[in-house]
Amino acid sequence: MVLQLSNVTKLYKNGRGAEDISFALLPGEVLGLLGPNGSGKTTTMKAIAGLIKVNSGEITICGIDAINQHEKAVRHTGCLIEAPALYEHTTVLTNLRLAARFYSHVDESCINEVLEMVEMYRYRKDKVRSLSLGMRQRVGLAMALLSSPELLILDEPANGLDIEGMLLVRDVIKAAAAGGSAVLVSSHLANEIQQCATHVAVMHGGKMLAIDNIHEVLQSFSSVEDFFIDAVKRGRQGGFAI
Amino acid sequence: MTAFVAAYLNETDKLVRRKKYIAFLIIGVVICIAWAVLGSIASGLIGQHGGIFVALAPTPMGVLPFFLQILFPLLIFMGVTDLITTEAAEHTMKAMICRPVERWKLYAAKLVAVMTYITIYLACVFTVSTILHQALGRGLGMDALVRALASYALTIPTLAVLAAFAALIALLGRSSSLIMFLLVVVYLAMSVLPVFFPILSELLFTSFLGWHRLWIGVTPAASRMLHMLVIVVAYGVVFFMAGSLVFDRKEY
Repeated sequence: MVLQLSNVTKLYKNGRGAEDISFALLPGEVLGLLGPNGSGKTTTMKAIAGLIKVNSGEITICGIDAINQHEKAVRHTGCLIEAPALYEHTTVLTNLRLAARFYSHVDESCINEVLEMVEMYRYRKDKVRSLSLGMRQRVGLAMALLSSPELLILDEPANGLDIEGMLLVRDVIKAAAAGGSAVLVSSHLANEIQQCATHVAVMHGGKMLAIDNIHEVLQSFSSVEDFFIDAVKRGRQGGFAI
Repeated sequence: MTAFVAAYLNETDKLVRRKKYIAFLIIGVVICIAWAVLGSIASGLIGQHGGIFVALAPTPMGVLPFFLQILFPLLIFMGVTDLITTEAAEHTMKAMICRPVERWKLYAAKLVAVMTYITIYLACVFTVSTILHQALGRGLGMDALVRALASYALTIPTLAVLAAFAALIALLGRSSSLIMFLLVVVYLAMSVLPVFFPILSELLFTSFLGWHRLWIGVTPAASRMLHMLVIVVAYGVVFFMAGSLVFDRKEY
C-alpha cells in the first residue's frame, strides 16, 4: 500500500474542508479526485503532503505515519499543490537544485531528465519570473517528479496549460503509474480524470461521496461525468449537506 | 542532520541570491571606509578642540556600536522577513515543507542562515576596519586586536537572540512590509524604554546587545556575568521554542 487515509477530517474555522475521508492507493494506481471548487480536494492533498494539520484520522505513506513522521513519509512523495511553489528571483535550474538537495539519489542528470520530460530543458537558465503560467506549471511538475516518488500528488495539474501541455500531463501521469508509482490527481473536469485515472473518487461539500474503479464506472455509466452527477444526487438523497 | 544541512544550504542560497544582501555588505564596507577617514580627520581635530569627536574613533571597536545597534538589527529583520513572512505570502514556503525535512529543522535552518550572513558581515566589518586602521598608520597592538576580535565574536549570541525574536514576530503575519515596520517599532521601543525605566535594562534582551563591553572591558563581578549569560540563553531558548512551535502549527 502506497497511501492510506483512514477517516481523515480537516475542518477550517469557516466550517469548510474535508470530512471523514478514507481511501487507499496501490502502486501503479491513479486515483482521480473529481469535484467542484471547494469540495475538499486540495485540503485532502495538503493534509497528505503535511502542509496542514488534520483534526483527526490517520495518513500512512508507504507504511509510515505521515502525521507524526513527516520527514520519513514525505521522502516518498512528490507534490504539485495549487500553484507551483517557485522562487521567482532564481532560475528554473536553481529551483530544481534547491529541491534536489533533500535527496541523496538525485543528481544533475536527474534534474536534466525531468526538465526534458516536461519539455523545459531549453528554459533551464531562465528566471522563473520570465516564464508564462503554463511554463511554471511544467516546472512545478518537474519538481514533483524530481525524486522519482512512489506517491505523486498533483492538484489540478492541467491548470494554465495549453492542449500540448495537457497531453503532456496525461503522459507523465501514465508513465509514472507504469513505473510503479501511485498517483493522486485532482480535477474539476470529468474528462481529464477519465483520460488518465484507474480509479475515480467524487468529492463534494468536503465529503467523499463515491469511489470506484474506472472500468466499473464506465460499465455502469456512459461517462465519468454521469458517475459524478449520480454520486452527487445520491449524496443529497442520503442526507449529506451538499 | 542531512535534512537540516540541505535546508540550511537552501536558505543561505536563497538569501545570498537576493542582490540587496550583497549591496548591504558593500554599503557596510563603504561605511567602514567613511568612518575611518572621518575618524582620522576627527582625531586630528581632537588635539585642537578637545574630545568632541571621540565617537568616531577609527578602530574596529569604534565602528562596532553603529553596526550593532542600527545596521545588524535591520539586516536581521530583513533576513527573517524575507525567509519567513515573504515566503508565506508568496506561497513558496510549501516548496520546502513538502520536502523531507521536519518543520523545526527548517525553522532552525532559516535562523542559522540569517546568522551566517550576519557573521560574514561582522567578519567583513572587522577585517576592513582593522586593515584601514593599520593603513592609516594607527597600528593596533596584538592585545587590542584580540580584544576587538573577542568583542565581535561575543556579539553573535545576542544577535542570534534578536534573530530568534524577530523570527517569532515574522510568523505572525503575511505582509512583509507590515512585519518589518512592526519589528522596527518594537525594537525602537525596547531600546528607548530602558532610558525612562532603568529597571528594564536588566530585563530586556536588547539591552544586552552591547554586552561584549562587560566581558572585554573592566571585568564585572562573576555573578553579574553569570546572571546576564543566563538571561541571554533563556531568551534565546524561549524565542526559538515558541517560534518553532508556531511554525509547526502554521498551515500553508
